[in-house]
Amino acid sequence: MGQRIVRIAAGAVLTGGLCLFVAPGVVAGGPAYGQGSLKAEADPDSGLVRWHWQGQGLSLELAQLLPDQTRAFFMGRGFSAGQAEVVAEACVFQGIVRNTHAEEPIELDLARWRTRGRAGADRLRLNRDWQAIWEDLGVADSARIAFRWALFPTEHRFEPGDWLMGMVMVDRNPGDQFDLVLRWSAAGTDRRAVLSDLGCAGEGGGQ
Amino acid sequence: MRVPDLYVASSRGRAILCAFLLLALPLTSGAAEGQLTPLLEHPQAPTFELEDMDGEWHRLEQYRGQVVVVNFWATWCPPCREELPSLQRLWEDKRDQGLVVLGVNVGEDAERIFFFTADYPVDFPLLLDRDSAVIEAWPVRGIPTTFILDREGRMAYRAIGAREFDAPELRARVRELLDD
Repeated sequence: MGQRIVRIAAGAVLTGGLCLFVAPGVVAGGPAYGQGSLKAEADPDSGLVRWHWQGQGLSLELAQLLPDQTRAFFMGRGFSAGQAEVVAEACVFQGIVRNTHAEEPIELDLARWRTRGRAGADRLRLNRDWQAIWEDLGVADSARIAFRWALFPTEHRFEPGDWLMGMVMVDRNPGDQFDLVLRWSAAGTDRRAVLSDLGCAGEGGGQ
Repeated sequence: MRVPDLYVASSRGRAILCAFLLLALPLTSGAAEGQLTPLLEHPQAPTFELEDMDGEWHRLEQYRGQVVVVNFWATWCPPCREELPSLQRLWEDKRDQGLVVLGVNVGEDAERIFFFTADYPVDFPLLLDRDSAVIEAWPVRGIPTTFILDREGRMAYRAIGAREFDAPELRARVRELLDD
């Protein structure tokens, strides 16, 4: 499932002299994904990419996180450097899910989502997977609590207007490319969409 | 948009901060203004007793007879930060009519919250759910999640994700509960 890449002019915003970050550098649009559409925006400075899929009452945004961002976040929440490194070696996104339907609730179970790449299909790394690791590594309770609530919840029901932000972790390596297969239900019907050509951020930036 | 409390001490750190600022800005619009989910069966809210920032203990039952907003949040959660000012405005507007707002912080200590409130000043009680026992006992899967309880201590409305709590539609729902 290919994407049509369209370059558009980038605008710039100066924020307090601290840094320059910019409106979309690259927009990937193209064929409908089932009954939805996928857009991508790349930050020209960091190279980090944010994808936005919308259709069938569901909106999903996935923004790449650098391994350094993941390290910094969890070290700030009580993880040791070594413990935070375990997460930083994973493929981490900031995810936002919204129910955009006017009347129907939607139900998600991230355990049903799959990634497809050169190495085959795989599932997401869920909170229960991580908590077993943190227990083995003796991570402090307060840090484990922060981790649990920072992750996007594995199962959730979204009523109209509901939305949540949380980290989504994929069992792939920094820099890997993959397709993401979404599954959810709305009005008692199973829905499915495939988001093609997503990528994990590497140490140096996005894809 | 406030700057996340990341440790930034180098040019690389500054680049990380820039990226985080970008990531904190969703492609789509922010809070779902005044939309609340009515909980038709009005389940009784689980009870709790939690200490606030000043060492004062709050039992949920002590607010029976008042309309109570219970907001689960954390300082590191961008949507939680986004909605705090509107919760403050709602509380300022309705407290004289019997509205109580309780912010239940998940898993953080008083010192971290104290510094956070320098940037996000709120005057309603911020309660410390240090071991997350309270949030685990409530029907919450992600934060922010907010419940509005009627005067009988029953859950009347729920909002998952940030809201503009002083949006007209939402204020009207609160006013209806206060008028009951």
